[in-house]
Order: sequence, then C-alpha cells, then structure tokens
Amino acid sequence: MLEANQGQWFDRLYLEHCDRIYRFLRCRMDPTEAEDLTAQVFLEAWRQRDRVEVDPDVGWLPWLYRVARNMASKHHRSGGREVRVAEVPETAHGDHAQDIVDADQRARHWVAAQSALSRLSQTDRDLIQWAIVEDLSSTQVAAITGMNPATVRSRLMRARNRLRRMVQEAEDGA
Amino acid sequence: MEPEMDSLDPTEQLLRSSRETLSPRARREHLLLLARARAEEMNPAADGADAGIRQRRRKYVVGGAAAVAALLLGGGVAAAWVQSLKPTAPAMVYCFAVATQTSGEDPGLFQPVALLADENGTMMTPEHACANYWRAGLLSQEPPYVRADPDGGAVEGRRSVPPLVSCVLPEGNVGVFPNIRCIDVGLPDVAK
Repeated sequence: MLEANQGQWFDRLYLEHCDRIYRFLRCRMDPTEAEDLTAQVFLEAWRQRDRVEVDPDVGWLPWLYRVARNMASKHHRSGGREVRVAEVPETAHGDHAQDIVDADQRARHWVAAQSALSRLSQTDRDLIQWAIVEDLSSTQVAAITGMNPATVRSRLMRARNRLRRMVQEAEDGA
Repeated sequence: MEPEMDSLDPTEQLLRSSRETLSPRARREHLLLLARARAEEMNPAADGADAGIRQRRRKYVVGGAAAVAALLLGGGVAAAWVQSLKPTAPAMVYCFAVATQTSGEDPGLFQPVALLADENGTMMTPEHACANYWRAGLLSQEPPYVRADPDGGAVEGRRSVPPLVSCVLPEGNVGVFPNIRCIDVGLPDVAK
C-alpha cells in the first residue's frame, strides 16, 4: 500500500473506532488518562500495522481492544488510579420541571446501574460493555476474549441476569 | 445483531444511550499525533509522537498565549512579527476544507496530512500535500468537507484545486486554507 493511502486508511480506522476504545478505557480510568491511552493504542496499531494478522471477518477492533486492555492493566500496575463508577450522564433539555424529575430518576437509575456493574467481575463488565453498550456480535466478542461464541453468549446471559438482579436490589433498597 | 440482543431492558438501554464520545479537542490532538507519527517514519528528525502526548498541553498553552499576544499587540512591530513565523511541526500539516473563525475547532473541517518525501528525497510543500487531497476529491468546500477514504480516494475524475495558502496555527502547526490570505483569519504566514 502506498504511504499516502496508508495514511488515509489509518485515519479511517481511527475515526471508526476511537470512541469505542475511549469508552472501554474510560470505564477503567479518568477521562484524561483514557484519552492519552486511546492515542497510544492507535499509535501501537500504526507501528504494528504490517505485523498484525487481522481476521477479515472481525477487522481490527478485537486487536485494538486487546491492546487497550493490556495497556490499562499496565497502567494500573504502575500506579494509575482505577475508576469504576462513571459520572451521571447529562439529560436532554426541554420542559424544565419535567427535566428535573426525569433527571432525578435517571440519575438514581444510573447510580444503581453503576453500583451493580462495579460489583460484577471484570469479565462480566467487559462482556456487558462489548455486547450491550457497544452492540458487538458474539463473534466479535469471541475474537477479543479468545472464548468461543457459544461461551460468550452463555456467559453474557448470566452477566445480564446478575446485572438485572443487582439493579433491582439497589433500587428496592434505595 | 444476535437474536438475544434484540430487546434491552431499561438499564441496558440507559447504558447504551449514555455512551461517551471523545471530545473534538481530543480527536484533533490524536489526529495530529498520529499524522506526526507517520511523518516521523519518513523524517526521523520530526518531534517524537510519544513526547507529543506528554507535552501537548504545555505546548498548547504556550502556543495559544503567543498567538493571543500577537493578535492583541497590533502596530508595526507586532504586525511584522505576525506576518511570518516558523511552524513547530513542519513534518505535518492540517489541510482545511473551509476557512472560518471556528474551523480549527471542528475536526470535520480539516484533514491532518503527513508531509512525505518524493522519490528524490525532497519533502513536499504543505500546499502540494493538501492539493493532492483536493485533487482526489477528499476535501471539498461543500459538505461533507472531508472524506476519509480507505482506498485512497476513489472519487471519479480529478477535482480542481482552489488557491491554497499556508498559515501558522496558534498551536504552532501549519494550516493550509483555500481562497484566503492568512491575515483574513488573523494568522501569520509560514516563513519561507
């Protein structure tokens, strides 16, 4: 591939996947650290571009996630702060009074969800992140984790049931 | 998607609908960093990409302050200083599709491009590098402005290239704009 074409291909790879990689890292660290490591993941992709064997069925994304996971682990081993509960996301603006009620309900639901997520195992959290939040197929998740797709589906089903039960318990106890 | 994913419960819907995205500023910094890494392969003397991550915030503060000072000073001496500056990262450029006051804040309006050497080892000029993108139809003055094409720009035919000018952006990088003079957007020319 010509250098100029490689550059355009790589910009496309970045624009297609940067948000997913950022979110994956953001679940584990503060926003600034997640931004920096996102850039490092793509730098590594550029440096390794001729050595990585990419499965055409799933593309680069599984490789990017694996690199991001390794970098996050290294980051925490070297003393980086781990963040498990993200901030409550903003709501849409419209009717102000209704917004306040909606925002309050949404905030409580968000806290319950994040609290439940933080009590799941890292593997279960990752499965929910990939399959539910990012809407990846079980084949893609299997390529990231090294499990087979059937195992991904069964473990994901159990993780979703756990999450549902924990959120319900948190809301009942609030 | 998998059949079992078709129905999400309210918690899952909330998690999916609350997805964060990278800020435009972070995207812009990353694209700069990655373009610089590409340029570094061609020209090892360029700034290291890893160092770029560590130093980027300090550079922006220093570069931004210098640009603001330049714009505020006015008068003959300041004008002479503003008219031409040496960019800090000559191995890459931003090719802008349009020139507006806010174009530098919107990553959809520019394409970072590494300056590559030709077969004789001569580095291309910023205008030449961006002209290639205009010619291939990857930049246009109408939406979507910037097309990232993995195949290197499979646009039918060759497109015309508007008059291009190189200016020094507040961060010290080179921006190449169509149809303006640098002074029109309050930026210094690149010193030849």
